[in-house]
Amino acid sequence: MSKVKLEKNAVFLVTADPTKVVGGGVPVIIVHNEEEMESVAGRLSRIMDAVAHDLGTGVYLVVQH
Amino acid sequence: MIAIALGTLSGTAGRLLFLRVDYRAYPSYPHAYTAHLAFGFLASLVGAVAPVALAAEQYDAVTFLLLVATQFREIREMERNKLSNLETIELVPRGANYIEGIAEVFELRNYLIMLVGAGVAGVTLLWETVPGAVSGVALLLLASWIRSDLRLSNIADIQPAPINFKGVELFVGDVHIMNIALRESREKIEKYGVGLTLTARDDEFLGVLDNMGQRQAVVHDLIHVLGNREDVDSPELKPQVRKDLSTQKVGVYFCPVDPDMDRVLVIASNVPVISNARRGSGEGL
Repeated sequence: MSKVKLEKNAVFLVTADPTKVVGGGVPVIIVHNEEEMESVAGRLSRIMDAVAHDLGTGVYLVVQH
Repeated sequence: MIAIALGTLSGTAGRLLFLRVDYRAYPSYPHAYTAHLAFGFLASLVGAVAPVALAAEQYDAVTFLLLVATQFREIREMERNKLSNLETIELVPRGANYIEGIAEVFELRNYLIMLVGAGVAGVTLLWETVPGAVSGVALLLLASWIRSDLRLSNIADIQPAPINFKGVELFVGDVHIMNIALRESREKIEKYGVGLTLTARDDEFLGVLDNMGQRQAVVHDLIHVLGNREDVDSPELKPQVRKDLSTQKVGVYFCPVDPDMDRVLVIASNVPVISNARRGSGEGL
């Protein structure tokens, strides 16, 4: 079957602010600052063939589409 | 005898004419032509024999027509299977609707060819060779007119639209596409991204632009001809089609290797309107 609809799968949460997230079904990676958040989310998205999205609260969500 | 020969000849010529390889490069190999030419030859032969058999009061010849119709359905099956099998390895698949449309066209062309063969043989039988040959040309013109499809430019106004970011949100013109967190990805998209907006020419075409199969066909054709910057580890460059809910304008975002806007517009204009994406206009309610 061809995938016309996107199947989404959250693979990681990346944040510099641990108060914004609690442990759940998705692994959470705590980093020191925004710069590190950018680099970690970037690497993760390359490794996982995924896209990093900004939730606007200092949390990046890495999603496989 | 001349009737059968002339009917078969014009039918086969028609199949050859319709088998033009265009910008979508499909079918792409001589083997594929061979199969379709052979089927076209058989279709026109059976079509041409039909009036001759009827004139000789051999009515059981009709069963052969039924047999051939079954074979045509198999052509559809063959094309559908082949294209569907290839889908799994395409970064930008054609989509099930597009494949069904292509398979349907392959089947229907054979019916057209059979009718051309029958028509030419019938005319030749009644009025000799020269009117037969003339009717061959006329029927082929008629068949190619029937064959011509609606194109995207017939149903939608296609305009280039700038790729732009409002914060982390990617827009094509004023149609929101997606959220891109990484600065590096945003820079790549700004560098490579190309945007189009599609505005339905009439309310009855809104449903066509909403059809996911139609949207997939648009990005497939664009990427198929212009190349794709995307790779498996850069899904943010994957083509996306989204709609603005208030204006009903559809935004197309993609990252071609060749961003020449003139070519982009020509290709987008020529994307076929997928037959199963069409909706009724509601007239007659």
